[in-house]
Amino acid sequence: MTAHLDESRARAWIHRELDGETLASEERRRLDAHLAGCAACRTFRAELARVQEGLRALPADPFPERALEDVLARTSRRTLAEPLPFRARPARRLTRRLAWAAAAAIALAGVLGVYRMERIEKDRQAEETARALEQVRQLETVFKLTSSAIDRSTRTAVREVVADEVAPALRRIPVRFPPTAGPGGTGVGENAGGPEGGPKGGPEGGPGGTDGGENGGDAPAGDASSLEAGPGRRSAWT
Amino acid sequence: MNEDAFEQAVRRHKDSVHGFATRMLRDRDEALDVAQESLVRLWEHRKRVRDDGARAWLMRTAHNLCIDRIRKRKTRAEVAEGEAIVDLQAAQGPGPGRLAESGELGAGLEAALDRLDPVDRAVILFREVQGLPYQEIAEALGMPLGTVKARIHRSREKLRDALTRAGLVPGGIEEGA
Repeated sequence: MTAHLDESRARAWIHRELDGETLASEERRRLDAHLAGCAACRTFRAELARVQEGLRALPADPFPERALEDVLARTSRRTLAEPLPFRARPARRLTRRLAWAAAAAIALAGVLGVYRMERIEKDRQAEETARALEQVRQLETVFKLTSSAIDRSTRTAVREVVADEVAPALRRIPVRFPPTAGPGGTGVGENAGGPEGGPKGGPEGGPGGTDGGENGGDAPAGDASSLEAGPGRRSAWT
Repeated sequence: MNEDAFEQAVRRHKDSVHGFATRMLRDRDEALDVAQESLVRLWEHRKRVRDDGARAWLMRTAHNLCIDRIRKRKTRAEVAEGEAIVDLQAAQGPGPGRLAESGELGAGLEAALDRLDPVDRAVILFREVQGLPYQEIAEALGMPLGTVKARIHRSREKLRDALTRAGLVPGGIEEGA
């Protein structure tokens, strides 16, 4: 004797049938008995079966061949020829890092180069300044030496000129010596002064001492002696 | 999964993934994008996918991508304040040739599928169109087996109701009629 099967359970078992389950023999007998007396459940099963058939008969929608080639080119086939995008990332990161490192190195080299050039420029300027100061000092020394030489030359030249002019003039001046009582004191005073007699008189003063005692210290000793009254002679001014 | 297994899985399941995405999204371009993205992601995650788990993995990925796109559509549709997108989806379903191929019943089923909740639609497509076992559907969707069965049974009855209302499944038919 099979127990009565309610509609709800019968429909659940119909779904299980459609799902491909194999009902137990007892379940099978009870469902068949229910369907035999229930038109609604028979219709229900028939309609669900038609829906299922219709769904299974829906046309396939094949994946396009070009899309398949694209997928394979982006995946398994890509590994044979070139790295995958996600595998390529480390390389791209490395490239970027290298690029940044190179840029940083170039920038650092630039900064160091500018710093170095500034240092070199400063050193060069300091060297040039020192060299210029040395040249100035050398020029100053040369100038002093030149100035001194010119001064000496001028004085010598003046002295010579004066001597050349004055000495002959002195020679032309008649010198009269007072008669002396000493022996040999015969008047030779006219040419008493030698040609080398300096115009600059010594401290004793002389007729040529136009410079007075100004340059007396420079006068050769011999010059002064030429104006001295020698034995038997007298100065014109004495 | 190595490279050979990946290529075998792609060739074996590409049509299922693409067909599922087409019926979920009713947009051929979007469906192609989802299918391609699912296959490429399988490659990227191949080391964590078993050879015998490739189909479930692909279907889960395709399902998640489709649900994301459907949600975005809803947001756009709300912003657009119109039903135009529904018309657009209907217009971009299977081509005229394929509808003719599947006949009136097929066209009615396609329309009825569109009106199902996206998760119910996914479950019935997995089961009745793609032929996935319940356990694989449960794995793909991360649902308990009982929940999957209940959703499939409910979706079948909704489709039956829709076809009956459309006169495509005349009420009162019985086995052998």
